[in-house]
Amino acid sequence: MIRGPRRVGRPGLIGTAARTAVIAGTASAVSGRMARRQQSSAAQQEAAYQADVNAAASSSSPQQQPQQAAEPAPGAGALDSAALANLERLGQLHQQGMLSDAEFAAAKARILGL
Amino acid sequence: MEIGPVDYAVIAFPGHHFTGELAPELARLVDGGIVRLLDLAFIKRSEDGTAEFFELETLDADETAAFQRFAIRETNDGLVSQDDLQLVAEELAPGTSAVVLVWENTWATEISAGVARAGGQLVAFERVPRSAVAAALADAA
Repeated sequence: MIRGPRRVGRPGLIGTAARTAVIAGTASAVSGRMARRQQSSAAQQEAAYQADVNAAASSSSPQQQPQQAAEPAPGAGALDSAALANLERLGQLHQQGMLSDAEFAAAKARILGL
Repeated sequence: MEIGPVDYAVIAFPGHHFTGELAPELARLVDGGIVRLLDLAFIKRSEDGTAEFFELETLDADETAAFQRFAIRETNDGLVSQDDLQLVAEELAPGTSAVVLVWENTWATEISAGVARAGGQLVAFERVPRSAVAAALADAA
């Protein structure tokens, strides 16, 4: 019996293609929506993770200030619209040959907070 | 490994059955060495919007009889992830079923390699919307 392929729960070919299209400024209506949904689901996961961390922190050390723990992790989670605009602009510059692959990758990583 | 350009398509059908008419045409392209099928997945979205995901191996055989010849894949693990299928499912209207296909354009591998060997650079490449083709042809007539 032939088994089906394993499908892991991370962005695969389609999600990656959608995000790349947004960054390069070539996204269609569908790929643009898919990229935005990925972004919001990543943000929700980050928020849920942060809530878990906060819950764990407040249960283990109740003296800790909760508002401090509630600060979002820097560089993670959703992109704001300014960052997205920057990414799109970078993609255009890269496509026009004004940025090398390495410069584009470095600038993109900075915006994404990697 | 040299790999040619890869495309994916999501084809939705009304109702809860995957129409088999696509399969013989796909078979013709695969048998002719024009494309190589890299991944294949099935989604059903119910009237209430719930999505179900299927593999060729987990669907009723009679439902996918036409697709069975594609059961042996080139890769063991799907290039399309579960997250991808979820994203695609949300694009489907309730009460539709869809096939997700990923293929390599083997016909383009050699010409791409030839362009690279000749020092050519791909400056633009785009699938032209059918309406734009019709408009351009009408203008040119």
